[in-house]
Amino acid sequence: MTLLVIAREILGLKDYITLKHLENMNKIILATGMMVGYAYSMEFFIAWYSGNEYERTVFINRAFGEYWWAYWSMLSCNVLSPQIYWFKKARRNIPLMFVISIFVNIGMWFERFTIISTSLHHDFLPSSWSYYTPTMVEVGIFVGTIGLFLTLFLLFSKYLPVIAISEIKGIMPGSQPVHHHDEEHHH
Amino acid sequence: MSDSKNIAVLGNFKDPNKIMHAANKVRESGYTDFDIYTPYPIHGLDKAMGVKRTILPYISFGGAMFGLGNAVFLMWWTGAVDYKLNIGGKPFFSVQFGIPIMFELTVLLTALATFVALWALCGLPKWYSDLQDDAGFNSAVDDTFVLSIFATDQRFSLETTTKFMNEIGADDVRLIEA
Repeated sequence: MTLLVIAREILGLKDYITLKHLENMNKIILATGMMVGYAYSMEFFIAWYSGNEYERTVFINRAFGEYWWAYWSMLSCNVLSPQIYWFKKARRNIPLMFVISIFVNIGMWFERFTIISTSLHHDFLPSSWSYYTPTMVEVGIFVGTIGLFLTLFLLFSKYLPVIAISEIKGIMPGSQPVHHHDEEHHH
Repeated sequence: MSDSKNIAVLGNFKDPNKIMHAANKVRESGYTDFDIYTPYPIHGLDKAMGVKRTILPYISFGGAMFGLGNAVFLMWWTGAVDYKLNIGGKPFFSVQFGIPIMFELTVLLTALATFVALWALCGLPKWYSDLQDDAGFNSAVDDTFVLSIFATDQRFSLETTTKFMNEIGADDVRLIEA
């Protein structure tokens, strides 16, 4: 979505990828956001319902421990921010959908961060528990991956067709035969 | 080159209605060994050509069942027969905990079987085609519909087939030789 909104402006694809398509994509973002919210609540419910003190502790540490800010960022970006797409005007608003797509990107990043950092900082050996902070090297690697992604996308949009032309040919007016009933044909 | 073998008679079309009409005519005339090359899919063309339904779904289903069977066997054999591990009193094999692996292997083998079978059924990879040097044939990926009646067809004869192609409205009717 982040890439698409910009690409469609710059590459002139508004007639091929219409506002209707973007609206449908936003509906999918809303649906998947709620599916992910269901998954988060099931995580909580099963951890509580199991009665297993270790499973409960792991969950409480994830939500209220030292990395609580990552967990709640993940939840608000992934579940709460797409809720605006219940409103049709929001679904059809291009700057808004760009902003929300960035929020969802941030939310997914926090989900990966929560999974990795939270489970590693409190693993099976309590003597190795500690609070991890990234060094400039790790931040640099992260920025590098964003750069790599953008580079590859720009190379793709420069050298390869962004839209499959054969598919466009198939839906142009006059491309399909006009269906008519002939006496010779038995259907 | 001394003896050139006839491979096919090719004809170009520009209008989808004409190629549809031509496909019907070719099928009704009794030709079976022919093919039509188009830049994009044309709805109803394979029915007009009399193309038989593909067996690919059955192969995919076979792949799915193979994957499912392997998943169940793997978990049952390792968990309930060969190396029984008592984990919290849970059963050695049950459908409930088996679902993720069963799902994964079913999907994986369906996809792999479909991919391999699709390539095989299409005759791919096709290293060489007798038609590949023809300029009209190469424009079939661009802006032309190309009808090709192969010389291996029982009803093929150079004169009648060429005349027939001209009758159904093909442009640039030409013979391709090996």
